[in-house]
Amino acid sequence: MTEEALAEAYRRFGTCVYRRCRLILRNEIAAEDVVQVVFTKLWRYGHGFEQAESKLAWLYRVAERCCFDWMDRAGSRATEPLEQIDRSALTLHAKHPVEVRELALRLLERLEDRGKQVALLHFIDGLTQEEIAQALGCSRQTIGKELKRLGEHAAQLGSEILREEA
Amino acid sequence: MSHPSQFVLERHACDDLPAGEAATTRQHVSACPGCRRFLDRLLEETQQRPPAAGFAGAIVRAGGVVPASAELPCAEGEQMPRERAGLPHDARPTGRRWHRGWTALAAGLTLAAAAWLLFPGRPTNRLKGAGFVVHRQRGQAQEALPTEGTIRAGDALRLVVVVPEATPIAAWSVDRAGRLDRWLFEPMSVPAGEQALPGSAVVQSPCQDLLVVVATGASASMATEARLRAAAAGGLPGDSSWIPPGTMVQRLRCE
Repeated sequence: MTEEALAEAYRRFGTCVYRRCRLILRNEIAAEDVVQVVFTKLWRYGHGFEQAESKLAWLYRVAERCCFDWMDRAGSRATEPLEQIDRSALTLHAKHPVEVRELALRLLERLEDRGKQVALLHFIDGLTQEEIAQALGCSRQTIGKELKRLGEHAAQLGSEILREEA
Repeated sequence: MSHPSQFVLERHACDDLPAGEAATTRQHVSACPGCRRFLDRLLEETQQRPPAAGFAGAIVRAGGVVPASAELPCAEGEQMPRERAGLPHDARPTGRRWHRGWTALAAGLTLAAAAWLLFPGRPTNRLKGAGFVVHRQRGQAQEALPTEGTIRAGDALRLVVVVPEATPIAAWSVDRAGRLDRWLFEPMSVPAGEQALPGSAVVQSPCQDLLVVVATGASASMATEARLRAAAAGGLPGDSSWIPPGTMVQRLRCE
């Protein structure tokens, strides 16, 4: 990928990728760092990006992986309370109520990577189990199991809300 | 009215939708104030991002090395599973330091270095050969701030340090009320030369005067942070007696 193509990709997708990272990490500085990691990966391994049907979806998957890695390293030390972040990403025509989506975000760090991704796609993006299975290349049953596990984590926190929503 | 999902709106904003879906979405947005507001906000945020050319240039100049500061498993010496993000793992980044930077930083640093030479009496406690500059981004304008430079809520601040040799570095900001924030997640090692530290800080509302404290070498430690925290606990004293040795300080005032 040329420098010009990378700049064009950043111009088009940089803001959305940053918002995605900020939503997951709840930390603006970390989100900026991860954005740079994402576009560094794009520059190094851009072949899949160029062939992707949705380039934004491709970047989101990379960004999510990078965010999860960052979360694994940082633990919960660097995340900010949800109250301190811009909630605009949680408030537009969403399928699930805002409290459900907030709870899903809070639970992310308790989940394995696959579970994190399923939680994001289901509760934040509002995808159905079939759509998630297609996006992640696994079976609908696997997605169902991940959502069930998420509901169990929520129940441990004393909330049945995710179990009902799943 | 059936709204497009937020993801579809984001794709629309990025010009990532197939033509047919883009036309449908455009038609919806023209009649939906909520969706239009969302897109306006995205556009506004886009205008506040670092310039694309400088961002891409920094990545290319660094040879695509992942920033070590992000502390990702793929940053240095670890296997990155192939399935992660669908990326190959046969081309992991090397351990070279990744340089973040905007094109404007170079010019700003030159100006700041000149100011350093011309006005040696500023109230900082410098290490020989080391220095730092706070860069302010306000809207699309970026500027290297002089000592006692001005800030206001919403400004994004970045630190650029110059060190004569590879050294650990740590940075904090302390406001007038004594609140101490880490600029870096934890002390990091930087190579010799000019380095833009990762991340940025956004001035919160209401704005408060800030002191930016940068420590290098052995002072880049949690012990220094503890001293700072103790000094700041009751509000910072007016003199410089509280400044830990081996640190550099820059004061920023609210407009």
